[in-house]
Amino acid sequence: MTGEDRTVTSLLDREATAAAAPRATAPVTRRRRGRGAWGPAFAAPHAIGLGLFTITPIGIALVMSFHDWPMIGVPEWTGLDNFGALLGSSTFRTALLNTLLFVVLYVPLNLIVSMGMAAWISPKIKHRQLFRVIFFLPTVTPIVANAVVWRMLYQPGGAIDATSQAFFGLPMPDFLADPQWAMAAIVVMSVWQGFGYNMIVFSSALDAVPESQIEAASLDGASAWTTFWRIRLPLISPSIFFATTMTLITSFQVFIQPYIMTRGGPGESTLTLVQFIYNQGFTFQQLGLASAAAWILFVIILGVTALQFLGQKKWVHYD
Amino acid sequence: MRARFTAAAVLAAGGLVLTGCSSGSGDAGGDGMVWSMWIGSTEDQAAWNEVAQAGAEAAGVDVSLQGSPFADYWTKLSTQLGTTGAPCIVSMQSLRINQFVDGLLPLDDLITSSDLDIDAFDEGALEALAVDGEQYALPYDTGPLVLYYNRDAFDEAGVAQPEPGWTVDDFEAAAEALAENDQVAFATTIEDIFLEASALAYNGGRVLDEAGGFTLDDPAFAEAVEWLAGLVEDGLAAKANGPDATADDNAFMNGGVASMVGGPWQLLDLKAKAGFELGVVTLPAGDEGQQTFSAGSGFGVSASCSDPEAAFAAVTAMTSAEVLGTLAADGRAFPARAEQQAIWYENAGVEGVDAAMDSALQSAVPLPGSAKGDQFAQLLSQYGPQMVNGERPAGEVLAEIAGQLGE
Repeated sequence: MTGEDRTVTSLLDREATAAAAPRATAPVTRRRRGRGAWGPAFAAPHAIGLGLFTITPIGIALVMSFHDWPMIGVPEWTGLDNFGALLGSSTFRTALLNTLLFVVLYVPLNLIVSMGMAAWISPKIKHRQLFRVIFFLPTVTPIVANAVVWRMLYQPGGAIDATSQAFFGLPMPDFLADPQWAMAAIVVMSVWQGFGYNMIVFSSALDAVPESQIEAASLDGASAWTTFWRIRLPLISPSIFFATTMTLITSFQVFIQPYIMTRGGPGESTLTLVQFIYNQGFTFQQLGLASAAAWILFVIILGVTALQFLGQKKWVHYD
Repeated sequence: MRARFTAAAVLAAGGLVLTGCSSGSGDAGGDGMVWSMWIGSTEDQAAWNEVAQAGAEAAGVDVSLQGSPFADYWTKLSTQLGTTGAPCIVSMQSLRINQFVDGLLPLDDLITSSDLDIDAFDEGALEALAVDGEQYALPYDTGPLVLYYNRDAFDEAGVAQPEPGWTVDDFEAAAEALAENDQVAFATTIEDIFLEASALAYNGGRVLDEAGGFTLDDPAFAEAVEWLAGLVEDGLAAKANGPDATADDNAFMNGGVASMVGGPWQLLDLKAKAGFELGVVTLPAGDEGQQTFSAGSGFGVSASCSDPEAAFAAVTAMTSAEVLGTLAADGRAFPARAEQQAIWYENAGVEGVDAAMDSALQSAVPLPGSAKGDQFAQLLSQYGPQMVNGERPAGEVLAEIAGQLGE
């Protein structure tokens, strides 16, 4: 159950209780039955949407993953052949490693930058709302447009190279065409694009930390650093957990940035799992193989998310 | 109360289902049909809308134009063909037809039973849109790949305007003279059609044999790529860009480079947008003599079209002498009907274009297609820049591409 669900349920509970209050003598069983009819009615649109557009495609993809399923033509049952082919494919292994590399670089960087910015635009800063909007802008700008602009920035003779040449006389590497730099360039662009969302989450959570506790800590002689580290961070740990989980999930699914900026190149150095799936499915027209790879990604994300939920007991405080 | 809510839930669910299922089919609702085409600009759209109108009049049903940018067109089409949502009329490029034949209707019976004079089409253009002797589309354009160049840049560098039949040595001398005037001569690219034509002109190197089989181990092709890499290294050519297929066109249009490989279908657009005087010449000929590829496009009918007769009537009208004459007059397409080619020449408005096109046509061979054409194009965008820009030996990169293609 997500936080939102909890809020909705508790609101409903409160309303139901308030409505029932004047008729306190009504039989308890009737009230329960009445509530039972509302529940499925409210849940139906979402449940049907989830069933039709999420669970059904996931199921169909599983069926497809056991077939040789060409884009045009007749599918043929092949059992586990697609999974075997993927595990034996050096391109798939490279895509998997590239994705892991992106996750390992991107997630911590994103969290550090967004937390740093959130802490910086604390209520004491002038024009904080303006800063909030400015930092959030990249997140609400279409990512394709951002990627195209960054592709131009990174090009030889682009803004980064030209600035470096003008001020330091040093030419910059051809970031997106150099296998050593391409992934780093994509990570930097992605952090710029993505940190605003987590920043807003952290910023709101920090605002909600009770001032009395901060005051108590400072009266006890805690430094700003200790207050942040020992009071604020533990108090916003549910938000950090939420941000980490969501960021991890989306970073495993990274696609648009490499697709627009490098097409997976140079060579395979920025080929991610989702681009591998896209290529197999829509360029190479092998939907069975693409579905098998999508399922492997699905299981990886599910596993990582499950691990996080198991681990949260140790560091997330809901009190 | 409960019954009302159940009814509301059912209605909401029904609405969702209908929304999900309402994506279009090839028949554009009512008595119309969809024609899918690659579209690069609003000018394109306006011109193709007129063609759609001609098709609609002949078919007696509405023909609605559905466009995507060229690079995305093929991905979108591959997801549409083979489903009931396939557009009835499908635009097809000669070098990509092999990979879509299963989703297309062979037109031979329809051609025989109609009064279409098939002989009025250029023979090579027709052949390029046939697979295993079956005709899958009627051609609207054809044409050899040529070199577009910036006449002003050549003049400013004191370089004589190139003549059709000029050689690689002439080109290199011109490039060096241009370089002395701080002008990069040539834009390299990794786009299949242009890269393959550059190599063929240089030394006859090919990655596809005449039957469409991959020959990525052809040492001549690797040598031709190494030549391009040498030009890049010497500052005579601009680097190839993998993810941005328009980088070479942009560099040419903004004067960053003085020449690029292109097809006659680009002439109108280049002439309209260039801030300089446009020139056209044959690709520089290497030791094997002058050679170039010709490629063309046409319109076919999807296998799942519910009214193939009407679709064929529309396709026939869209490739009629009248429509191709209009496209030729606009400079949009070098027409696939021999008789209308004269109109293109009259209206091209570019000095020397007749001689260049005549010369190129005489030395042109059809650019072969492969069932793995899109896969090869994707791999070129990933690996191509490394070899064309001289970062890795061409032979090594081509072997890696061959491995990925399973060749």
